Amino acid sequence: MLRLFANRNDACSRFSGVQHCLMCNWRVNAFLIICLLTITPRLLLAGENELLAVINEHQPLHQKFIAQLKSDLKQLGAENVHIKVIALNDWQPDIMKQFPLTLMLGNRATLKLSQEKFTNPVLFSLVPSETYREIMTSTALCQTSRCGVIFIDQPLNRVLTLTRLAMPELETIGILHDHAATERLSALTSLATKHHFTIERQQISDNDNLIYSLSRVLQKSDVLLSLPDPDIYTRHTVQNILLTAYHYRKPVIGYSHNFVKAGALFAVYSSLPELSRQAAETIDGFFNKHAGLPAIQYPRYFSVSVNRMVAKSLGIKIDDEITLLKKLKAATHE
Amino acid sequence: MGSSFLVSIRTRCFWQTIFVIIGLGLTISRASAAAGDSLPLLSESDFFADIPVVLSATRLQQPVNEAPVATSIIDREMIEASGFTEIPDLLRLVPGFQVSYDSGHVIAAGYHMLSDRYVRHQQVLIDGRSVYSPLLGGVNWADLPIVMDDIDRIEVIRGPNAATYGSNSFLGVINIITRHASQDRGNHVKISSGTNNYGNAIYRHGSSIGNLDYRVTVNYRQDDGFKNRYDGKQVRVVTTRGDYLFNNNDNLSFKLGYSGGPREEDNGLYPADTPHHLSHTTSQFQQFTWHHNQSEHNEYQVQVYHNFSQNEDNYPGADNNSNKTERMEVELQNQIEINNKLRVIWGGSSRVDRVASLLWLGSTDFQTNNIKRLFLNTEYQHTQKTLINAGIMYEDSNTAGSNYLPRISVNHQVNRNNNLRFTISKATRSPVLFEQAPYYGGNFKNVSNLKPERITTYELGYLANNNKRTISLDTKIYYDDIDNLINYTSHVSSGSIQYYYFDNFDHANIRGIETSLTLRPTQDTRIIANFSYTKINSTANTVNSKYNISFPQHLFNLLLIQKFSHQYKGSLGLYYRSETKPLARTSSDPILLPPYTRMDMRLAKELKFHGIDSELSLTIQNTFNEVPVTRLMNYPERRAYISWQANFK
Repeated sequence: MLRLFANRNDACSRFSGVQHCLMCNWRVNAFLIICLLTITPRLLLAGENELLAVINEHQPLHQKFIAQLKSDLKQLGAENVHIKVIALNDWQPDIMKQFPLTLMLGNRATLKLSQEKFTNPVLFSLVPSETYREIMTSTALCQTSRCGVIFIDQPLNRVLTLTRLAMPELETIGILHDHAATERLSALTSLATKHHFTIERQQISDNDNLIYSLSRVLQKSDVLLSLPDPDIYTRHTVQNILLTAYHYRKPVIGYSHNFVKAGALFAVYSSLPELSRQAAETIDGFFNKHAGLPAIQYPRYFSVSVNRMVAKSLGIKIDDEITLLKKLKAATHE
Repeated sequence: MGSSFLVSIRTRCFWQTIFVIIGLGLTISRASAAAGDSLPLLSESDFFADIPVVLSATRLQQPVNEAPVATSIIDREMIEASGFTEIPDLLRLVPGFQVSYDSGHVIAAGYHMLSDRYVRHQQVLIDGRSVYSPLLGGVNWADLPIVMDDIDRIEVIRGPNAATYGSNSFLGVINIITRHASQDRGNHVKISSGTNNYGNAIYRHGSSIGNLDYRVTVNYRQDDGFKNRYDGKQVRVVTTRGDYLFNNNDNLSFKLGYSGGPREEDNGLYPADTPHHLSHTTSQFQQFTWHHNQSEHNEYQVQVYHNFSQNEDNYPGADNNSNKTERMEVELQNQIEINNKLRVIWGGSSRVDRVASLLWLGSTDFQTNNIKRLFLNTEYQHTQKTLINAGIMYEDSNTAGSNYLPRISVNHQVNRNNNLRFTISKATRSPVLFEQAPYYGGNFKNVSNLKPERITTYELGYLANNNKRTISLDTKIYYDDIDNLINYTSHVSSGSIQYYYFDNFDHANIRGIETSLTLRPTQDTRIIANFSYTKINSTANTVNSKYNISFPQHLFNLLLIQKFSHQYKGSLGLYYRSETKPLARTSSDPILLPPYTRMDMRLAKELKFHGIDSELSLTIQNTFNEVPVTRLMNYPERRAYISWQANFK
């Protein structure tokens, strides 16, 4: 029944979105009235197993994620959980009241929600930990409601463990950071000590001295560990960073598969299916297993990517991706 | 040595150039200062965004322990620490290389040189563009439109590698690689001044417009050449490089350059009654390289370039040594990783070399050499520890006919830190246009059908390093069998007219051992030491072919780089060669040059004021003023210069 409504709802929105010149047509008017009548009770009568997913309609990544999530839920046997997808632009805080759980994708949704008051549980996904923490500390988000989040990025410990496994002789790790990264830095420094690394860091104040700062860091370290930061690592600067690091014959540790494809030596990352699988398990746990909503989750499923060509060119002997992943899982008990 | 009047004009000219350059720099820097926007928070797209493939297979340097032929790298740190002011001097940092000056602006730098001042047995490429002179062979180093500060690294292949680079990659290949345009941001100024009227001013501006990264470098440099000679030079260079990213898979790199300036000419090269005069040289090039990533494992590259240079040397009473040379080439290359074990690079090119020279070729009309090439190189990982490189080049040219140039090598990893390499490689050197159709004022006649010179090399290499890679050793022993060596001799015809002619007279073999040791005991210290033993055997015994003694048996060099506290950096270079008798051009016996040691020192300090990063340095060359005798009695007495460089927005 709900499925039928959902379909009809889609048809309505598609239809109503098409032409207002047809408004004079009584059939159209009648249809629109029926549409309205069907939507309203549907919202009021949102099933207890219905998940509201708020996506950024301009982000193809989100659509892929939802498609994957649907199939993951099916695979988990959680067919009873239905997903109602709405675009971020159409989203109103009141809608959430009708759904036992809302899934918010991406940092734009998180930002928008942070300005609203809401009471029902929310699961955030595809959100970087840095962004989430920044929003949490500066807003009242999640103070009146239960929140859970699945971060998109990897825990630092996992990254450093992999670095140690991949490069056993490594001593000094260079990093570039901006002025706002102090909290992350202290966490990194203490973790680095645990893994017997020394951290060489350089603060970036603007774009133009990036290469100069990078050169300084590279001269004093064995590797550049890239910590995701939109002020430092952009599509354009990554090119300079990789070229400059290569110029110093120092490898870069990336944070995404594409970064490794572009020329970073290796990265631990979670693919979209890996992130959606974890989201599906969390949603299934919430609806069907009364498992609650864990407040913070780092990616449970992850992959390791190695650029063999770069390793070869820099004369670095490194295990293959499968071996490294196996070792990493064993070392972090995951 | 120029007159005092000339000196004062040049000194004024040098400082005027500096002011113009700085003014230009400030104008550009002001114009580009209005940029910068605030970026949003880190988002999910940062983790999934497509990024262009930056370190593609064609841009990556083959690791030394997997290269099919012994390879040395001169990197930026070495370039700066050496304190050298001329690019060919950098080759002193490579085992088996000798660098000598025929005059202040004619430099002979070569590997196991079997030649006179025109080092014809090695290929020189700048970003894949050949600058080997089609008229006389060798490279006119002082005329190249390139600024040393724009060089990222120099890869030197020690041994023939014609399968990859074609003919003339005979004894070695020198690959000069300039920095990507995105690596130069803002403004860079460098001013140097020193003894011997040495002056060097460089201004570089680098920026980006949308997806285009670009840089422009202007350079003026001058010196007085050698003591007691009239062989100074002034060089003006403008170069630009742009790297444009169409999308994640396509980029276009363009490079343009111009170099020109007067050269002082005395009778060092010419007959004794040649008056002192000036010659004028201009060189320019245009180069476009399009790179396409079909996939991660399949890359295409198309390159087109054009070189043109002109030498105006037509002083009354001296030989008219004016000439024009031109080269155009188009090349296609495809690099495919077929599977984890097999990588293939194949491609082809078409090149035209054109030369007009009244003195050397007897005509102001252009003479042409067309060269067509097809090549295939494969790299096969036979087992986890054994890598096989096999390649072949087919080349057809007007001067050398059709030739197949093969190479095979096996690299075996004994264990994690020890590698062995065995290589057999064949190469040819095509006759240059002067050898093919010699004239030289009517003194030469073209009487024989010259064949290309041929070499077969057998090389055994051993490479080792410690676990931490703070020590690395690269040794090779080799045997070169060289046939068809081209030389000239005189002939007296029945009418008592004497003339010279070229023919494939000689045979030679070279045996030797070369070692390169690099130490990095701490992050602040680096030591590079190179040694070579070279033994040439040849039955040839004409004046111009006494190969046996033409190259020093022992060469040793050492570069020590040390960083100190308070932003001080020091370096020390030591260059030794044993006695030698370089090939002479005169009828007398070659001059014996006794053993020679040269020591260079450099001290630099980084300074920061008003947000500008700068560096002040003092370089002393030939510190102990050891007076060497080089082939033309050139005395590079102790020289010193001060240099200041700054980077600013």
